[in-house]
Amino acid sequence: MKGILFAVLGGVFLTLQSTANAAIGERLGTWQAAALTQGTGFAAALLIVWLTGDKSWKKLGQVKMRYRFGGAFAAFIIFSNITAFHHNGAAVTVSSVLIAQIVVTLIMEQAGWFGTTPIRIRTPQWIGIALMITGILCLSF
Amino acid sequence: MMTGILLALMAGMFVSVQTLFNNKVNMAVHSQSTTALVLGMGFIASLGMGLLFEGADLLSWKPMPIWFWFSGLLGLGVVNCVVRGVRLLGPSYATTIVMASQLLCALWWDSAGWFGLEQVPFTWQKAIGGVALIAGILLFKFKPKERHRQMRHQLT
Repeated sequence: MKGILFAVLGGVFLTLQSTANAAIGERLGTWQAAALTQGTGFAAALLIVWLTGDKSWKKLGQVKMRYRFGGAFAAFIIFSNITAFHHNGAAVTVSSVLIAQIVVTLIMEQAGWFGTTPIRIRTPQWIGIALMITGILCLSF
Repeated sequence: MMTGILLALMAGMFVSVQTLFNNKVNMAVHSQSTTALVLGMGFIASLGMGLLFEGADLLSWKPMPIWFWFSGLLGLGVVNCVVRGVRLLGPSYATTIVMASQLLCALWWDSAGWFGLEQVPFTWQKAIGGVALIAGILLFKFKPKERHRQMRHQLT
């Protein structure tokens, strides 16, 4: 239940963030907006680490080097997103991003890549994903 | 058209890979530190790409409203919530819920015309889309009874 709550809140924050980013990007330019939102977010996150006395970052050495750079993908994501937007507009871009995201996550989790416990995907799960894709398309166009 | 779609698909793929990488980090360190690392990496990478594309122009700041300085708090909320959700629910299930929540919020705020968004009328097509999303999640979590039988087999 707690996980569901976090996931729902994550989605709410994501939508708020993309709305805010669009407004900020219009005023400052895309990369300045990206640097500003992530830079201030980073500063706030550091403050929270300090305030909560979280010393677990000392164990970061146990994490394989490549996994530590996950956050840097944000720059590629922003770049491809914006270029795609200029080519095709919002509807095609948003729906393509979301469909690729859900399908690739599913494939990777089924294969057990990157340390995930493999899950079994049966017919109901595939139908569920197909329904979600239908939903994404209905909402985007 | 094709280039744009390919780029968008790549973006989606990168989001999935990033989610799994962050989850991997989160297995060793707490969510607070994970969030800080992810945003720090994003900041450095965006700064780098910005300098690459725009050169020194990136560093010239125009005056801006004060709330811009607090926009990072939204990113903080995103990373923290998604990382925790993925750890508790697994990547695919968490992703389906995050996505549905994201799309339904957008639908709600668009229809209400909130946050300075242009008001978009709510249509039947959108209602069907919302229902399909939720039905999809419910089906995704649907587990056939066979699994219990298998477990009973293992027990006996």
